[in-house]
Amino acid sequence: MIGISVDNLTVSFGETKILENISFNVEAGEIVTILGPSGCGKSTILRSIASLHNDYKGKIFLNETCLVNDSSQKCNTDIGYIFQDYALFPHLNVKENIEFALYRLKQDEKQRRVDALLKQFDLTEHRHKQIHELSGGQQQRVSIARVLAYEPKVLLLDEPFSNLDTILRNKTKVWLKKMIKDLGLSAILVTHDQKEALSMSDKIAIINNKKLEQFGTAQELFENPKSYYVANFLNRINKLPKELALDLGLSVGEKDLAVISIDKIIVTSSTSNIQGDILDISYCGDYYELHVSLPKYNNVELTVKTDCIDCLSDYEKCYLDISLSNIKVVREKI
Amino acid sequence: MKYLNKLTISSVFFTLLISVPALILFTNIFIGGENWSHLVDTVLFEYIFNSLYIMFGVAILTAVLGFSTAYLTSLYTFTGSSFFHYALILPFAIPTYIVAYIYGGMFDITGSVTTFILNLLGKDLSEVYFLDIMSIEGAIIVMSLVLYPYVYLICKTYLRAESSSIIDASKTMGFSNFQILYKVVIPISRPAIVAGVILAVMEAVADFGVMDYYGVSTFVTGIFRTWFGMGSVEDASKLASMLMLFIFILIFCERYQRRNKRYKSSGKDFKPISKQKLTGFKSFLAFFACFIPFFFGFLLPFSQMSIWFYRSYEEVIDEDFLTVLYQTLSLGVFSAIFITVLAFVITYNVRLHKSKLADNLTQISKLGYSIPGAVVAVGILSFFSIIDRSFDILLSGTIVAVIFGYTVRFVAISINNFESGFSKIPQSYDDATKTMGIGTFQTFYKVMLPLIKNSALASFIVIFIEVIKELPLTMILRPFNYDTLAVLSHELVGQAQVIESSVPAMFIVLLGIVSVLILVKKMIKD
Repeated sequence: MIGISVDNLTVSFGETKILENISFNVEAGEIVTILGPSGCGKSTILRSIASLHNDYKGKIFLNETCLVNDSSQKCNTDIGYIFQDYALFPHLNVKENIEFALYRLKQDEKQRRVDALLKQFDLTEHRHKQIHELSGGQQQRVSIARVLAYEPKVLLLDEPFSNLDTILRNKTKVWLKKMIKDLGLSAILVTHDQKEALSMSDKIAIINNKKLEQFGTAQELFENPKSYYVANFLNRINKLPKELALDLGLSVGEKDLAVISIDKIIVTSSTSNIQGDILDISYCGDYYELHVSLPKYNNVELTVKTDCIDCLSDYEKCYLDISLSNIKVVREKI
Repeated sequence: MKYLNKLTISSVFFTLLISVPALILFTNIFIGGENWSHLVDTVLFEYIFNSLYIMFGVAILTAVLGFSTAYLTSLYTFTGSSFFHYALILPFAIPTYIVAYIYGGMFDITGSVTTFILNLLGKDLSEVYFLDIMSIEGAIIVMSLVLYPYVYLICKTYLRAESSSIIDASKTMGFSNFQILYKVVIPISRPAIVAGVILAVMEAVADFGVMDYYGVSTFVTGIFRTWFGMGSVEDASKLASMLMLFIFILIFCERYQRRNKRYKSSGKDFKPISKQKLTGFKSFLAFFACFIPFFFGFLLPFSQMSIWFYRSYEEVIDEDFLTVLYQTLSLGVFSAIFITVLAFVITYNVRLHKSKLADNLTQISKLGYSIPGAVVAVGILSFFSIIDRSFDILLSGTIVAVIFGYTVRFVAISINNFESGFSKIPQSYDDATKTMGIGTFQTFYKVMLPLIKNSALASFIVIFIEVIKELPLTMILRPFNYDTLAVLSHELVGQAQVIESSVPAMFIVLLGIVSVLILVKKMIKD
């Protein structure tokens, strides 16, 4: 098994710096997700690790070996790369695509390996089909089988679910995670989808404004976000006014913010709680979202998630129970 | 890695080499020969005036013919509309000079149609109004009939990319079809009309065959007259460089007007314009509007040529003719292979190395296509005379000069073909092979070659046809007594053997139809 270490990775395109001093480790057998908004340089990190992008500063290690930062260097086949568009060759059929990288192997060994993969990925009956004859999910399986054919130790997955519909995406996430763990691979996944990141990863690296905002386990990041950006990226939260926090007995520093998840505010009928004016009620299937303004706190607006609205005396006013234990204090900026 | 460097070096070398004639011509603009002041006093202003007049006339006529036919076949269905969809491109198959020879033979003072009509009316020429086809106006009409497909094709492609919502929105506002035409369709099509018109105008200004036969003095005929009549290489070069500058100004204007003028359909859910069905008299009018340019641009000249071919082929096709045919075909095949391979090397190098320098050089080498054949020929002769003198060899007047000329002129077509082909191959294919540890040669052989072979084939065929049609460049650069079908056709016309000239012309046109069919097939596929 191989671990990856990214040390002070800095990438510029011309004059524009797009990544600055990114450092994180992927332990052998771990799945790490790089999460961030579109265009923040997530894929560039993957491309640098795969030696597809060589114009960077900093170091990348596979176990103890530092990758040579030189465009003339061939890519390391210990690393397998799953492309967002799958990069399947349209002039080759399923079997030919999978065996594409195995040209150095003897015919019988090649045959054995391809047959095993076709079986493993449930593609045997499609082996002679052209790529355009396959569904999105099947194409994705072919692209993974093609990479696994040359037995890499590390998988890099660039937005692997972006071309799949919701049902197939959920199914594939479970299947892919199990496969990576069963094969004992280390993997880095790039996505902009928070739910995908939380459900797939052992650890998450959040990129913001060229820098690594926070790196840790999914639970750590969700429960103890360091910055407002991380908290807001992983969860739906409200910023609370500092006066309200103070009334609840919490002093918030100048560069800090008090935040609370939208589902941690309880809507009650008790007038001893904070009064809010209801601006809007949205029905969201199994819950409601209330849009509320707080007259006592300069009409600051909050979003509140609630299961029922029966407790409301009317649809104009409500009372909010905000517990101190649910409030998190995060840095406004890192 | 070593051969990769070789690929880059050879690509840059060839790109520079094919840009040299144009660069030499640019320097010639400041150097005049001993007859320059004589040219300025006598004919230069006539060249300028005639060229501008031709530009203006061709621009108006091609815009009207090209846009109206594109509009009708894109927005309506009517009797024969699916036939016209492709038939309207067919005038492209006949070189302008061949249409000019045929119309000359039919409509000049002693032409077959003129004589027939006068006999029918029982009158002689002085008693009726007669537009002499062998005039600048005649040249404008002939050129426009053959060149309007530039406007037609570009406008049609443009309208096909428009969303039906713009037409539907106009309809919901209560506009009539005619109001929609002038308030919506013409304004949004303006960049396409101008782009097509400028291509047609550039072709008209660069023409030699039509102008020479109709006796119209333009820059191109002037270059020939100055070179061969006055024997003044410097003055011919200066005229050529002035024309090149003129063409580059046109290109600049086209690019400038295109800037920020692409009206893209908004919205994600693109729905192409749904065609409205025309019936009765409106259907007949639309049919008539499309039939006129098709008839005069293709059907009439092709029919007349076929009749003349039938009458004269036994007399013309002899051993000498077969030699010319063989020379033409072998020159076409060899040049097409050479240019296609060269364009592949240049574009593949750009794809592999993404070097800005290589990309810029490629763009420069593409300018050759916009330079008239006669001007390219003059540039090459100037360039080769320097090489001949410096290395004591003889390249001028050899087949090398001819093929080099075709390369300068047509490599852009091949480069465009490959660029379009490569743009359809995602960069992730290259990246995927790299991550699998597969080398550049294997990637080329196993991935790129199978995926790009259709572009290579299309490039080969189009270049082959262009080479066979090319007249002025071949005339200037060819070795002594080395004829091609185009040159033979021109020489027969020069000897007043218009009917006989239809035999080599027929071969050129049939090959041209193949090229148009490929273009149509590609259009359907795209």
